[in-house]
Amino acid sequence: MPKVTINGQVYEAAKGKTIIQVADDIGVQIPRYCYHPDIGIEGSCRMCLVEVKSAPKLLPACATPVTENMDVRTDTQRVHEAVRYAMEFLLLHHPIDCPVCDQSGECWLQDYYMAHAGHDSRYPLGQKTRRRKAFNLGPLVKLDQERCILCTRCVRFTRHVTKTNEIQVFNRAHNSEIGIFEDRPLNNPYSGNVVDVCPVGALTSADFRFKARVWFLKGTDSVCAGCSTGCNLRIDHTARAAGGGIPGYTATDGKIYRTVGRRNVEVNKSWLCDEGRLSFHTLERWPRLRQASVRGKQQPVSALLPVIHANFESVRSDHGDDAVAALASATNTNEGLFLMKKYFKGRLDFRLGREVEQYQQQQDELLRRYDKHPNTHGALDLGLAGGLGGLRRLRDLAEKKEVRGMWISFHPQLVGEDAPEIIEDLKRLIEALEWSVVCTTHDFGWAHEADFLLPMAAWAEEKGTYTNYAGRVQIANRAVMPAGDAEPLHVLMAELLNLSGVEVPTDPAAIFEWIASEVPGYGGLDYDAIGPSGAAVAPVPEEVLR
Amino acid sequence: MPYELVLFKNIVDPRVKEIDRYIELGGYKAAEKVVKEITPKDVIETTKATGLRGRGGAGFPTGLKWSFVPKDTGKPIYLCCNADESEPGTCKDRVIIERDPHQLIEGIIIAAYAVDCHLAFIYLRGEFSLGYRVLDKALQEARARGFLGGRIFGSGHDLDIVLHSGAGAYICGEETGLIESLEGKRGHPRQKPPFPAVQGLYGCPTVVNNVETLANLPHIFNRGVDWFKSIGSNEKNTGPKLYCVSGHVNKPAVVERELGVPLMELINEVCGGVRDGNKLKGVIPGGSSVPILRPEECDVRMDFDSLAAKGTLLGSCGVMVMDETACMVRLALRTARFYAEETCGQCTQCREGTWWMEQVLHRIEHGYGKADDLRMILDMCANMKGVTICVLSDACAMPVEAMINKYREEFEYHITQKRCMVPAHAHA
Repeated sequence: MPKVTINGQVYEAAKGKTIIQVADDIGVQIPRYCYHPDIGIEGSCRMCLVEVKSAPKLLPACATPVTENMDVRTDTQRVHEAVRYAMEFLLLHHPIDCPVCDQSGECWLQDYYMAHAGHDSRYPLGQKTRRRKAFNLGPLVKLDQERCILCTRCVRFTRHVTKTNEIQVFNRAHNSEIGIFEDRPLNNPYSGNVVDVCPVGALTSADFRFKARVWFLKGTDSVCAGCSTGCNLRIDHTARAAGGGIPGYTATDGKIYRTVGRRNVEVNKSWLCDEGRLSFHTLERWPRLRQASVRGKQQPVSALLPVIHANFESVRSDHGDDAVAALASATNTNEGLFLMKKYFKGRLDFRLGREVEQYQQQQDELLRRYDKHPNTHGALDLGLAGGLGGLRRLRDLAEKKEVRGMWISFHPQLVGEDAPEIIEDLKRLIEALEWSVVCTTHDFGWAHEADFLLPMAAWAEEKGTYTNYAGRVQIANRAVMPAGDAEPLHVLMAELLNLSGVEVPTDPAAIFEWIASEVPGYGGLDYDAIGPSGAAVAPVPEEVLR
Repeated sequence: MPYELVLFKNIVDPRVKEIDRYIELGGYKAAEKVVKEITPKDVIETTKATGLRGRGGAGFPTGLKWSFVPKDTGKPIYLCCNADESEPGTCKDRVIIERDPHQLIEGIIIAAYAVDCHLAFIYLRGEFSLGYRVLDKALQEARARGFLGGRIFGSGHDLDIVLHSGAGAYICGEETGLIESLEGKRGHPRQKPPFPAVQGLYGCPTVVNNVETLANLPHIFNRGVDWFKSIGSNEKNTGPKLYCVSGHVNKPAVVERELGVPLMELINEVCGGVRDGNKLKGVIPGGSSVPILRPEECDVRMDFDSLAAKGTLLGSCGVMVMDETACMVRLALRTARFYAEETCGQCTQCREGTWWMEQVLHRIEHGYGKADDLRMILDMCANMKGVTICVLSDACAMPVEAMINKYREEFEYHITQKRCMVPAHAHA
């Protein structure tokens, strides 16, 4: 472990790390454009120059590995000058269209200009080089060449990460510009990441463009629920709580505007697939179910839960415990599923189709997996793949009248379509049951066939944990309030358990502690230990998978 | 004592391009001797002992460069001959390639043997189409003789040479730009370290040597270290050197003299003096990227250290002579324009600085200069030097900075009087 001195402080750094990595680890700020930890080093923006004793020239921190007794300074006059002039050169032909630029507020040019430059332009405004503005690179990405600083992060993303090479540098010298080949649009399944990696306003998202100024948005760290990979992301939303909101708009419940990849080296590096990135739009695809109802008649949720509990009790006493069952959704959190298992005494299943076969199968070489549920692993850990045999088997049991009363919670897939045969099976199941509760997020026509209809909080509206395909338990936070009277599943289940005489907390962190004390593999974990980047749990035992 | 030609000994013989004639004149003896009788280690030691310094511009000791190549990586070692001669004012390698290609090939064989390379590349400037044809034929002849291919000269060493024609980019003459280009990528220089000797072509140890450097090798092994060291101005600047004298002299030429020939001797005796008896105004001693010398500074030996002491560089030895009719503003503009055109566009300071500098010089030249412009250019120059991946940025900033500092009155005249100080250009 080489000892490195940075600005007079001595640190121990892992061998092979570059100066910028060490500085990032210890929290010393070094400005950078081209350096991104998850794409190859380029060393071309020349913003991260630092002074190293014994080196005559300033060295790029991103490309210089630390060596024993290296003495690095990031705060000298020489370094400040170099960064200030790099900024002047970068801004020479910048169109200064910040008022209409989507990046404004999170633009690294703005940030570094304020922090390191602050100069007056010495280049006549009218003579700046004009380039193409606002044209589509692909369905999700727009390019403004005037704002581009040629850091080539996007080029290297398509070269090294997706290996699709759509974006290239064209021409040479001052005429260099980023672009695509005429017949090859940027349409790979990960194209949205180039917007995330672009430090300036050159690449903007066609989906988010002009929807909101970023300083009105509040970011909430969460986990994507689009598939079993569980990519880390940040949800940018307006919020009811202080700290967000667009003046003039009273979006009381909050609205999600976009999601941005959040770095987690263990899961998704910095990336999101486009489907996952846009999956929050799925929540707006159908009208939300806002109120509970009994056979078409609206009722408050609080009044309905005792009735539901009483009904389950009477089915149990009339036809035996086995006549009651539940169908869970692998898009619900561990907390909800765990309480559900408690309430239904283990007589529940979550398999709608081929989740268990598919949840570890990669759909491509990067992130996407075939199973479009975020918590299949968690459901398996909780032992929800018991003897009931999934949706089709439950349907058969209901048709044979072996199961008479059921709770069905259904959360639509956020990515792709739920298979029509699953909806068909659900319809037949409800039809065959004597008595059913459907707890769902949206106002689906088929759900109205159920006797009781309960609104459920959707992804991003509840806090809880998902366990991803690799057995990594991660916290998904609440970004916005649930629609209407909807409640998170764990709250509904806690109320039902309370009605049956078991004292249960509604706080997800407290429920998780209960999980940790009972579920093998989760022992010793709590929300603090999971933290923002998750924690690994023991693998699912083989017999559970069978 | 008249100078005895070494590199250009056979240059006037039109038949020396043919392998038979080259052998007749004593060619390939050195290569054969080296490959059969001397160990690679001794080849490196001998080259080190001669003090031969790279002729491409930087003047790095050749033997030392070879000794940096790690031998135990398990990867192949490559040798690239840098024949992408594009520095304005420089045309020495071209003469060797077009007139005496076997001298180069023999040099490559020796160098490749020294560094244990079995595949060498010649990266030839795209515009050298005659050179391509000549070299291609020469390579075929050498292969037919068994000087290239498997077990060359009947020894245990295998070597082939690939001739690659560039596509006309100045930056591909920078060694890492050359390597990138050879790999089929954009000619973007790489961040160093790692140096090519450790991680070069296709990630393998690679030696990049200039044409002239390699052409010296056969003579070294024919005539010995002491002979080589007897040529030149001192211990550190040894051997023959090619000078490309152009500009306002009576007999512009590529000439060979010892390293360290006095500059004025080169101009006055070898090249017939400044044209039409005009007064000397300045000399660029090493190609367009080195600082200019004023006449009073021209009493200097043309070697690496003497010129460095004068604040300029030997570079590629492209000596450009300017008489009193030359306008320094125009010269600075032309220089900046070249680099603005040829920068690869990778690093910020170089991509934007060269372009900006050209624009400001353009307006000074055309009578639209502003009072603050010179300060601004010097400011730019100061911040373009030493901060980029390769030295193209320095190569633009250094000469322009020197021109402004040494001929400041001309630039100021352009700005204040809106016309040129030199009578011949006064209309501008």
